Amino acid sequence: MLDALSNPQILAQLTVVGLMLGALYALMAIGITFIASIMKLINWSMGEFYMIGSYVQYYLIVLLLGPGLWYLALPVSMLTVFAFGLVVQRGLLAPMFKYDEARRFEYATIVTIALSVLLQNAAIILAGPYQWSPQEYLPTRAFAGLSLNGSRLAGAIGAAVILALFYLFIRHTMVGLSFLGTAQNRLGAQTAGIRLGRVDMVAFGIGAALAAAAGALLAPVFLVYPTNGITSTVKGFEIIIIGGLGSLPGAVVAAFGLALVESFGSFLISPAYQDLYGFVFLIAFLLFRPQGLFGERERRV
Amino acid sequence: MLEARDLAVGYREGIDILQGISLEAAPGAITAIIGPNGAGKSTLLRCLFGLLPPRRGDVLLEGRSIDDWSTDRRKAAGIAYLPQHNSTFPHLTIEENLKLGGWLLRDDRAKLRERMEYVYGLFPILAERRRARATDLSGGQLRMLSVAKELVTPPRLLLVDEPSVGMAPIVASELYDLLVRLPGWGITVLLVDQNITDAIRIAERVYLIGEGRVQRTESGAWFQDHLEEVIREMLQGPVPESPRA
Repeated sequence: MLDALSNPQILAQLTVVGLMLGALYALMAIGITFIASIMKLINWSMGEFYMIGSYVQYYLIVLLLGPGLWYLALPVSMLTVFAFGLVVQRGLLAPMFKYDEARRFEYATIVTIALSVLLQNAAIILAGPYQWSPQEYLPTRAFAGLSLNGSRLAGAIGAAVILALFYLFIRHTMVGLSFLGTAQNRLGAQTAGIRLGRVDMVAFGIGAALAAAAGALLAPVFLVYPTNGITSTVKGFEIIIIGGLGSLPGAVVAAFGLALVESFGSFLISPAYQDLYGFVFLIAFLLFRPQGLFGERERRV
Repeated sequence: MLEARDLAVGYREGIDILQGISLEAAPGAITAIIGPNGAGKSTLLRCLFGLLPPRRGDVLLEGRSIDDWSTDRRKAAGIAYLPQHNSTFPHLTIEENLKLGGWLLRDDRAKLRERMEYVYGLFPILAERRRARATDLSGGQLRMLSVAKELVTPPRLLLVDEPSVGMAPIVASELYDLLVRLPGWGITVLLVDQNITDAIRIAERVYLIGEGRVQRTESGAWFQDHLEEVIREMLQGPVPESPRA
């Protein structure tokens, strides 16, 4: 098998497949790590925001827009989940942090896991326990001798555009800067007159919307069903552990790393264990660099 | 200018760290609050900036109660707060730190720019290193950046918490020199300090607090003359000396 890698055609194919998937993984991982870095909590219901994003996308395409307009469904799906994220943050998370800042991590874990179970079951009741798939976003293309799956290609382009917009927003707007500042020093943000309540709420919404974008873009590839968020959550967490919790560049690099490992592992060993290679990669990583690629060993002395 | 009236504050139900504090930061002056460790000095400043709600009593700004004001509203009204621990953003540049310090001016770019240049004028070393990230600064420069950041949104009052804690002596003395200049720039200072010697040297009025209450209010000069007596009181409590077996 290994000698097949000396074939540049195969090498290129595996790399491109990995890179395309990596862009989509990055969306999910950035969503998790963005919320974690600002609110100092892990949102365990991230997969359900992914799931809702995929359902909104699917129903918009099937009932309203038609398969050709999938790219119009995408922003609507993101906005819907963004709004839902605002409500969840304001209604479920913010009230609990009012009196006991010290336990926010524990509270958030319990509440978001409960929310995750609730949303999965709500999806089963509302949409049924079936698997759906919208039509392929683009037809399969041959490009320079490579065969590119249309939906994956469309997904990768969509993800790249969203990630670029997210980067521009964070690095080059005053509001984006206030998010970075809050992530680095919450008290310092307060002394500057930044409203933490609002930053938390909007950051949670943005993180949820990024997960929804991943769900919407991957709908034709990983399908639409009530528990489709579980795999993506697991991968998202693998990525942020490899990249270092709270590090946005780490999340992007690790997302591409994981996707490439999966792509090459599937070819060299067997596609049946695709989800396993990431774990092996993760364990190897934890042995040698437990703080992740860009993580800090310990924030506080 | 800023007044605490019969303020009771605590973190847990039934345990008030401050049990009825009344004091005032006189406009245009430096006022210091001294007292032993755990007297509630930092808690008082947190409450004055709105990070902690009082259980009883009022915070008044120019005679008007601001109890229900959020921290950002207090900041907009000219109350700035310099916490004991670093309040800068380590992975942002000096320029970005100051920009965020002027968050409340964000809709008026020209004004924000003007304030940033004013602050750069006060701290030329920060202007020189404006592209450097905060984490790459020396301890003294970082402390300077903390102060500078709180000056971008024009303050009328600066609440300063333990300015010399964890500082090298040379840095601490620079910082006190800086605090002394603030009233000249139109900024009233309310300083909380365990470093009694420096605090009473620069303050016009000094409150000694202990056991949740104001124990003594005198001028800085008075405290300088009676330092030994005050320290004995702080250690032993205000009891007359009596022979013991």
